[in-house]
Amino acid sequence: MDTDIQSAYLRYFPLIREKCRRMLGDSDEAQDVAQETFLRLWKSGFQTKDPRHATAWIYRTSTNLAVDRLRQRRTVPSEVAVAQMAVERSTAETEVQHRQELELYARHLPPEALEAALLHRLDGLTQQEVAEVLQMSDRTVRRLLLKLDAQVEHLRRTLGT
Amino acid sequence: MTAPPRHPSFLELDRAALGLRSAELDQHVETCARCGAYLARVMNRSEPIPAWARTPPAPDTRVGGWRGWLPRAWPVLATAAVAAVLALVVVVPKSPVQDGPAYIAPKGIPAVAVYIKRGEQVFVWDGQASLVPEDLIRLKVASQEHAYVTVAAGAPAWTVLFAGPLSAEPETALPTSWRVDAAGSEEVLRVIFSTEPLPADETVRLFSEAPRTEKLWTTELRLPKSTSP
Repeated sequence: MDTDIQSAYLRYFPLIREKCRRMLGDSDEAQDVAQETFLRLWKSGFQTKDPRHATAWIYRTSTNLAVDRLRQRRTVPSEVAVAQMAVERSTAETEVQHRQELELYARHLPPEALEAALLHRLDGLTQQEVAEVLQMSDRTVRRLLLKLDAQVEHLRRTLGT
Repeated sequence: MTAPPRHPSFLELDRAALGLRSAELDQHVETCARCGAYLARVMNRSEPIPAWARTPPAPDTRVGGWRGWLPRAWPVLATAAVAAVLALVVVVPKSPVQDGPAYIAPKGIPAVAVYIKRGEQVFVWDGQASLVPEDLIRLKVASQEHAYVTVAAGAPAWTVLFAGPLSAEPETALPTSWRVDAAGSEEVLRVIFSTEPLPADETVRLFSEAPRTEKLWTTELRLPKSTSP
């Protein structure tokens, strides 16, 4: 990692912030998670400058923190936030739908599956990339995503949403 | 008619922003406004650096999601705040020149409140309660006369934990919390309020001297520690 915190901030924070906004919307919560991810990266004494390792670490940690936040939420996402997202990126309708759905059901879904879903559906990672970030096999990622789809479908029916 | 191009994943774009590029990706970015704009955003290295990222956190501190737990504790904290207003006092930790417990001072003097998060519980330090290892502490400060606050620990070789401007609000919650370790029998923090940022080469001296002048005001916190609540 860059030897001084300010250089590290300029190098890593913009992409951490973007990642957190994709998961949590443009909110104070996204800013908090971004800040915490960056400070954890700094304090971990992360020495590598290899973009592959650095980004995998950042994606893993920020996704983990975001999932904690999503599972603590007691309210459904605001329509305004969702509408803003939709305007921001014309190709993001499905992304917004995925995020909204994940937020709605987050408390009822296993954290590991949520992490895989955030990476695959919101960040557009291939299943192979998800496996690399989460340090699991491709097969496990596939199984998690399939299981999550089934659980969401079940929740849709039982919660009537 | 051609199929729409497959966008690279954000992971791939972020890796490109950090220098790991491929010819295929470069070609895509040249013709894709969405990916081009994203790369420009994450490669913007000219944005101003906020106060919390200017000073490296001390190795023995861990920052929690402070804005995450404080709002959830708001009903409790609001009740405490109302009680404080009704009493027309602010609790101020003891000064470095006094040996007694926390004292009560009139409004107007720079004030520091300590919030302690223990498990899921958050409470305001009463000036006497003991910390236990793994507690998270966070400061809320207020001063009408000063514009900056600097916090340090680790006497006599003071280490700055936080330095930054006070907000325009009457109170400023510092954007950092610190986790209590098991070492020692108390945590000693000094908080210096100042009209201008403290000069880096004088910071340690100022924390040692704990000045109380027209432009500088020092408050010391001595929080006892025990091994159980």
